[in-house]
Amino acid sequence: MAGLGTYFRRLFYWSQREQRASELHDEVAQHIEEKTAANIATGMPAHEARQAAVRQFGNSLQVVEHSRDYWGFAWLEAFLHDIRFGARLLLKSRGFTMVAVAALALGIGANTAMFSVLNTVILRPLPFPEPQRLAVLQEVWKDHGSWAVSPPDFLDWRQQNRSFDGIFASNGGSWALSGGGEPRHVEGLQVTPDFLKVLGGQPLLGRGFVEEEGQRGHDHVALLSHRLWQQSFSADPSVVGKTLHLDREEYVIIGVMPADFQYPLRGSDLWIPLSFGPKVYSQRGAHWLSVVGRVKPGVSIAQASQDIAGLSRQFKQLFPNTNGKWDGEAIPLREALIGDVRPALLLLFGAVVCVVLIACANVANLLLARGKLREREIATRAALGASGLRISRQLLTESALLSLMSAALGVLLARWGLQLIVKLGPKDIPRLSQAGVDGWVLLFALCLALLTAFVFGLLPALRSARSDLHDFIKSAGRGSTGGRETHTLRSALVIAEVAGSLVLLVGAGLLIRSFARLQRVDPGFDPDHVLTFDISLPDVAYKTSAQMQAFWDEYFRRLESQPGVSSTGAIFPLPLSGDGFSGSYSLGGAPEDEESSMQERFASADYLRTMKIPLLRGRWFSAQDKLDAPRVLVASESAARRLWPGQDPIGQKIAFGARPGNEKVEGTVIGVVGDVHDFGLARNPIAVVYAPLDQVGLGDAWVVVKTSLPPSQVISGVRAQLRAIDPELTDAQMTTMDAVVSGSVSQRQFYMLMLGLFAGVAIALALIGIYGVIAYAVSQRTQEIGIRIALGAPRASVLAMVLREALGLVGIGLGCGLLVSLFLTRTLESLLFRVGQRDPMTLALVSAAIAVTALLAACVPAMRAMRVDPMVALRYE
Amino acid sequence: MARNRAADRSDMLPGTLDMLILKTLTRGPQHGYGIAQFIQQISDDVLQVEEGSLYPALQRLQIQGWVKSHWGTSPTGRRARFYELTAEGRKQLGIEETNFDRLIAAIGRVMRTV
Repeated sequence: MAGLGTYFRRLFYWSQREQRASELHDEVAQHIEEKTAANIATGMPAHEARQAAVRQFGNSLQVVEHSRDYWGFAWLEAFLHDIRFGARLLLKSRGFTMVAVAALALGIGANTAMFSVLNTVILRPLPFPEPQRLAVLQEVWKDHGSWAVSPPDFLDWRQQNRSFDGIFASNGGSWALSGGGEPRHVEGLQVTPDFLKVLGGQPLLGRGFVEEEGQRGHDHVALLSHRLWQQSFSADPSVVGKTLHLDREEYVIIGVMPADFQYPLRGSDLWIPLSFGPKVYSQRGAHWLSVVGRVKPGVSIAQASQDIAGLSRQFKQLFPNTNGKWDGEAIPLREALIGDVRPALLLLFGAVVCVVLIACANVANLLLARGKLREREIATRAALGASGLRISRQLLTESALLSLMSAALGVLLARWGLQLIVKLGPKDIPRLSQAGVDGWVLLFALCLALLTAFVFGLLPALRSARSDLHDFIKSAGRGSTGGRETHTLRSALVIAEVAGSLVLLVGAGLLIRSFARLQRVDPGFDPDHVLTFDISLPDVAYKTSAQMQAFWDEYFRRLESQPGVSSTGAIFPLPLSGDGFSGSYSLGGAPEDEESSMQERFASADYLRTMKIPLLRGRWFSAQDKLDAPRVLVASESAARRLWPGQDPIGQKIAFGARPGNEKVEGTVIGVVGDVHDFGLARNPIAVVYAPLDQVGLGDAWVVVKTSLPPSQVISGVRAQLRAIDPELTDAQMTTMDAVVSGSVSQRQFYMLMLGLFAGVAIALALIGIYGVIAYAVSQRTQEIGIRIALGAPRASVLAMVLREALGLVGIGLGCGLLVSLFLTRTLESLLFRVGQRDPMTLALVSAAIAVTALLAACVPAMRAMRVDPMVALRYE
Repeated sequence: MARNRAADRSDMLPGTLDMLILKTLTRGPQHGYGIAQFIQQISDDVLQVEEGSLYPALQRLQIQGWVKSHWGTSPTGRRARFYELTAEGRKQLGIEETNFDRLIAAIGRVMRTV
């Protein structure tokens, strides 16, 4: 019956309500006039006529009131009125409002920030078409974690699989870029040609790679990223076809990718083709490729994984020495990228939910206390005809108002927090740098605000709405049974707050202990005062091993003459940098095709001394181990144990493949050195064999410089020496070993700090809650306390009484919290290091800390209770 | 204390006031007093409409779009608001009449059983 026209008319009438109301008054007055006139005409005397007319008419005031009901929407008017009233009330009770808004803003802000992180890192789909069909293919050596793929395995997979539309392989690289703006250092990716076809990206300008560009001789083409195009090529629209130089070799630019294309997720400056040499099939033991594929439509990744696993099983039989220990598998690309960080981020999100619940409990407590003060107002409303529903609605509207104000402040806090996180957060959480306050995040904040208003407002609203008029009149305004019930409710809320903050604090405590233990792990070398940077000698100028050896010799000589430099060295790859290098080897005397693979490192003669790695047996490389000298190798402790268990490794022979595509060279083991935590302080050291830099002819290595001065002061000298040898060389990723070590644990540190922060906020809120409840209890019992003191009780006993009550609350809270934390700490498992889930010391320390601070918080009202003047108390109504 | 609607307090079946007003207006535009007079007279004073309750009902009818109004002069020379039926109002009257007849017939059937 109510059509669209009705709504419009209602609105229209409402907009003119004042005018209409006065017109209606006139109409009614005229009506009564007419009736009066008619009565007079029938013979009634004048005043009687008017009285009769008025009586006949009924209540004219109510007529207008009831008419007004139809104008506008009653609920809308009531709503607007509630908002105005609520706002006025909040402004009046500034103390309450400030505390409540502060608590809620912290809770909502933390939640909003965490949601943004969660959304950006985990929830947002990958920036490729149909990302759920993308999978990472990897080869896994069970005891050593999942590693990269070897080129022959990749090529065979590509040829023999039945589940993939296409797969491509990639390997990271960095080069010195010249020929486009300022010479600079770029980080990029070498990829096989079907890279774009598999991922599904379209170039903004130009084209992607074609098949033949994957072969040696045709592979000097480059695909630019949007970022590089803007920064180094000034977004030149005719850049396609121009050339650039990478490590002084010429490449032709064939295209530019759009801004939203990112592979890998952390961003790449450019992509160039990956090509395999003719001897690629002899390198089955060298695992250095990352492989990604797109499954055929309708094929699940689990099925594809089985396909790959089957192929790998065949490889195991065909090539038992290289592939004997390797299994193949495919996992969704999303899993591979975020699978590691998801549990931790979900944990942090759970923690902030806990924090916001504690904040809600606090505000609910405050509202319950305030409820007492507003009893009179609410009882009057009820007397004037407001239904319970109407009163509840009004109170909930006030709660929503409070919530929305807090949410606005919370969003600001979240914005600052996110800026900090983006700047200081670990660089290895994918896409973290993109977290910010966007539309989704604002929507989340809004919904959260409304939800919290409901959570903390419902209970007090229901309680107030039930307030009976009679009860109020009967009671003196306090000390009624309602007061006791409120007190129980408030105590229950505080107990919940204490329990919640205990759980968070236990979690934070466990992470802090884990991190402390992790920091005490000896990395195997001394990172103090060590400067390190990457140097990459371009093939063009340094073709032969002799040239490279000449460079290193000269550079080290110059470096050691620098003031502030104690010793130097070079290593490839750098420990704790996240990079590894594995090659295939065969033990002395074994036939050619019996190979396995192991991690290799290439180091200079002074490396050991510079990094202070202990020499355990034999000797390290020295000046005599040059290019033409007999090949020597040094094994790490674990390598010696693995290759020659129970024997003396010195003098043993082992043949190593130096670089992918090169032939294997046999060397003699001359020494054993201590293990180094190459892949992270939390993981066990891996077996490693060192070969001398000079004998291998390596042009890409990390230089390590031990300095007597602070490392940063030596940087310019180091650079100057480099340029003195070859003015076109630059260093890359200049940093200190201390930074590298702390960078390797930055993720754990991040989680620890975040959880610690949340736990801190939670405990602060809980302490405020305890203070509030105890203060309230004291004010309730002022009369009783006065009587006790008047009857001779020592003041100290009053203090004890109050503190006992506080202790009771805290005790129950701690008990509940401990129970809950015993269950929940298993979620921390992956983040703990050498600390048990139920570590008793942490539990005890945290409980004691909470108990002590809670008692201190309760002391303030307790002292006040002590000082009650019995005369005043007894007179107090 | 529930709020009493004007309709609740009339002595008729709820909703019949609307119908009576609509029917009255089929005779042409009329002002509030005139409508009250008409209902009273034609029903032989049986239906004592509380005249005040007309006005909220008239507002309701206007909001629904069944009645529209304009200012004019009454037969006695006073300024009054005149209400008249709209096309939808006529249609609605037909619907209400049908429903009312059905209701009365049903009550009658129940009452006439032995």
